Amino acid sequence: MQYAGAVSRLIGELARLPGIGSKTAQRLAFFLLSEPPETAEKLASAIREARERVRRCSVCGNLTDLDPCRICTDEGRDKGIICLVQDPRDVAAVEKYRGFKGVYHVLHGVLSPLAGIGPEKLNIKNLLTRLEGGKVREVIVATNPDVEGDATALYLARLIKPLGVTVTRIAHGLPVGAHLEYADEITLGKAMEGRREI
Amino acid sequence: MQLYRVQAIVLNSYEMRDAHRVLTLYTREKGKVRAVAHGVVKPTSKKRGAVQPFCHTDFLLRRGRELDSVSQCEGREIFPALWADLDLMSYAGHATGLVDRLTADGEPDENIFSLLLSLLRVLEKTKDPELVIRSFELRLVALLGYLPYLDGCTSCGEAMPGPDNYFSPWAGGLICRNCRTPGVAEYFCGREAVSVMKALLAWELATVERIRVTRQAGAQIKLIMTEYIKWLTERRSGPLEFLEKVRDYKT
Repeated sequence: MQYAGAVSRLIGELARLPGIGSKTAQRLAFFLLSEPPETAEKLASAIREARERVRRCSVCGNLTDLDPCRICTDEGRDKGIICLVQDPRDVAAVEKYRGFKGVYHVLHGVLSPLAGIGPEKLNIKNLLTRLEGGKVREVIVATNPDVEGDATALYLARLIKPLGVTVTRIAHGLPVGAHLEYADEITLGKAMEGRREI
Repeated sequence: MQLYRVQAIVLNSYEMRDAHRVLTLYTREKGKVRAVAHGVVKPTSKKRGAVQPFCHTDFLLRRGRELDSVSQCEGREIFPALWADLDLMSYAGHATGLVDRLTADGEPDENIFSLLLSLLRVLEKTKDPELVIRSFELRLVALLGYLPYLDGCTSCGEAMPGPDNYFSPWAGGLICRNCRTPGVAEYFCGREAVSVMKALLAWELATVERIRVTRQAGAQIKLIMTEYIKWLTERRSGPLEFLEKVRDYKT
């Protein structure tokens, strides 16, 4: 069905967002048009404000409206432990756990041997600058446990270990509440490798 | 039948929406097949281990309108050593990428399947992955009908190797000095390089690491195969470029 130019453009822009197909885009567009004008204005101003104010933290690379970000300036955090994550969303995920009191470094991607994505595309130079001061004792590589995440972890270990910093990898194994009989071989293998004394 | 069973090697995968992945499989029964594995990024997924790249897995696939989907899967071999070494991971990625680019969907070839499976098994144990990967490249192009001609000049037929041999990707084999075309990329290929390439084709994949190769001949073969494959696929190998970048990267 053909829509008026402005409606069609709105649907087109919404359909460019991840996870939104043309049907959902139409539904969202008609919701916005059927609501009072303030709804659309609030959404537009929230998007504009976030886009103008949010940028990368000059220390850790996380998305922030303050530079350096709140985590980097928090005096209660241990600056000697850096948790390396591939995406700002992973910072939020680790923060949910509440038990980690160190700081973060966001790589903004992962190395991919299969796609040919090399280290020059990641936020690695800033990380090495942070490690130069000699105050960092440990780097925890918390990239996803898949081919790309493991490749990144191996590469960073090779790069960081000569600087005299301990490099650790988050443990891999069974999710809480899972049953052994349903676990796959890789997960069980990793769980056995990473076993610890109780 | 809506459901069908295949034995496959996972060549590659890419993200689809948030939690799904589209897998490219090389199956023993149906050749190259693409299938969606739903929800495999979630920690609760029972399939996620067996759908990782390089895994040798039994799949139960469900036919779909556009893409088939993974109904069940169980890993046979997972090759953990390939995940623990950046070089081996890149070589395995190069091999699976070559099979992906050089084969067409739905055209099974038992020999290609067996060759790729042997390569993954050998890569886990070998001390010379570079030589093993050269042997794999030569065997794969041979199986696909691109066997390089190494017994004479592809242009005039003169018996070779002679004192001056060149390899022409365009001609698909050796070329003598007199038949070289000015301005066309042709690569020097010494006597030793020619005999090593023949040995790499003749010996078992598991034993090629025993072939003695000088650094010079090894470099010639590497350049020849890189350029030949680039000519066949019309692009450079992403994983091999990645390996060079990782080795050379200075911050």
